[in-house]
Amino acid sequence: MAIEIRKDSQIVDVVLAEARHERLDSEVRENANQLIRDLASDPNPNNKYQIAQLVKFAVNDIIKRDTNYLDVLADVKRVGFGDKAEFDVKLPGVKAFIQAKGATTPRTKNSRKTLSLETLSVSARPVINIVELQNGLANAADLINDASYQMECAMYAFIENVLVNAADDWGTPYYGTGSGLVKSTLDPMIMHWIRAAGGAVIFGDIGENTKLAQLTGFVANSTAGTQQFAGNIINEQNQNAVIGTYLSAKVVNLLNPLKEDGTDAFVFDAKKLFIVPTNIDAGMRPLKVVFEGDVFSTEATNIDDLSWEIRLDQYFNAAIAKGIRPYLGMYADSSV
Amino acid sequence: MSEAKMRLNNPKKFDVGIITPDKPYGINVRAGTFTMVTQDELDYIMATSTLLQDGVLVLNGEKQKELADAMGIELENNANFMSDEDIKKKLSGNANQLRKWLDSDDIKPYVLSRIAELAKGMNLALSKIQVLQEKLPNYDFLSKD
Repeated sequence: MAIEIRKDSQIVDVVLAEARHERLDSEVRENANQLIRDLASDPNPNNKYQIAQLVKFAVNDIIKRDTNYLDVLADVKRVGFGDKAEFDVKLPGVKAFIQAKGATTPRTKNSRKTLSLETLSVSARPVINIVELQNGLANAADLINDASYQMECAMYAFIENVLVNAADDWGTPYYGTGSGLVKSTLDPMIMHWIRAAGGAVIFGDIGENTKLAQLTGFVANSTAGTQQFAGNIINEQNQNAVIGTYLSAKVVNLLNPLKEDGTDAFVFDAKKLFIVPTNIDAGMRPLKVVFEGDVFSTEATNIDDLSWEIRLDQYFNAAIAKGIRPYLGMYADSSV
Repeated sequence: MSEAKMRLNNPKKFDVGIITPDKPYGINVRAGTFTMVTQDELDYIMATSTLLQDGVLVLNGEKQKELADAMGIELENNANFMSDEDIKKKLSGNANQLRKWLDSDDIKPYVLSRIAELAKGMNLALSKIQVLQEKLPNYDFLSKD
């Protein structure tokens, strides 16, 4: 009987869990691996297509789950293949004038522009020996894990680069830097959004967020110079490694996955803090990201060396459109 | 006698915070302004951050040259320290020279966007726009706004 693997098939969840190194019942794991071996042992076009489908569904799921970076910082649109995403950007518009009574008021209109993004492709082409897959020496979960991480790292590096390249050009109060977290530089950036939007949320890697506690102290007597801290701040820092609130802004950790390249580097720059205004629609965020369709796959077998390869592609792109102002702040910690 | 101080400038569009041994909570050097620092404070900033190495903060004239020499930086060729005029000169070269220059330095994002802004006002040849576009894939070099 021909096996058909669909997006909601149980084997997709099992292989996904295996790829993410989650704890799995050994029987469930063995059944899934046996099914892949069965498919590979009869490498007809349909079976190879089904394995490629399995990899595609799993990679697609991993890529969408691993970080909250885009959810909190970007205006993300997902469109179908061949469709174009259009982002609406508000520009400076209607003006009021002080003038003599009865004089003609210059006309101004509410102004917007739309930004349409052509997509690029992030692509991986993992190769596996078909005989090794048949006899269980090669593991589909490893393939999925490697492919998804590499695609994810490449894609996020691109998106982060787009944001970082643009942010310093926004100037104060949207961008600031310092030799560490400097209160007198960071506070006005947060205060700007408290005034303009009623509040802000601070997103950052836990390594950077944890430094915020040091900024909460105050010096009671300028000549004594000893910094005082509130007891609850000390306890909160000890319990959670970060304080929940800084200068009325909620402090939230960005999920920063570890790169799987043998180093202990993280996917995102751990020395950035993002200040996101509250009560502002996600559509106003300057970082625009579009995904065209889901991850898709094509596969082929090389008769020369019995290698079977899957090409995985995800169409996407990112750009900055700040409109009237960038509704985002970024503090770069330049300490070494 | 108090120690001689030198002028540390922030020529950027954004504020820069610095921490020195006697100001552990830091001070803010606002965009386009300066602060006075001693040699010890300068050494401390250099040891604890990349602000001077990256050209975010700069000293005046001869002092900056001495500092750059000490750091092994060629001011004339390093985009992070160049004036607008020097960048325009580099942009006036041919596409290969431009590519070599952009690939040779660890050019910081804030300098790249400045290079792009200057390039946009220069009516450059398409081959040079293509080189720049590789560095800034989403920058719109062709629109007027």
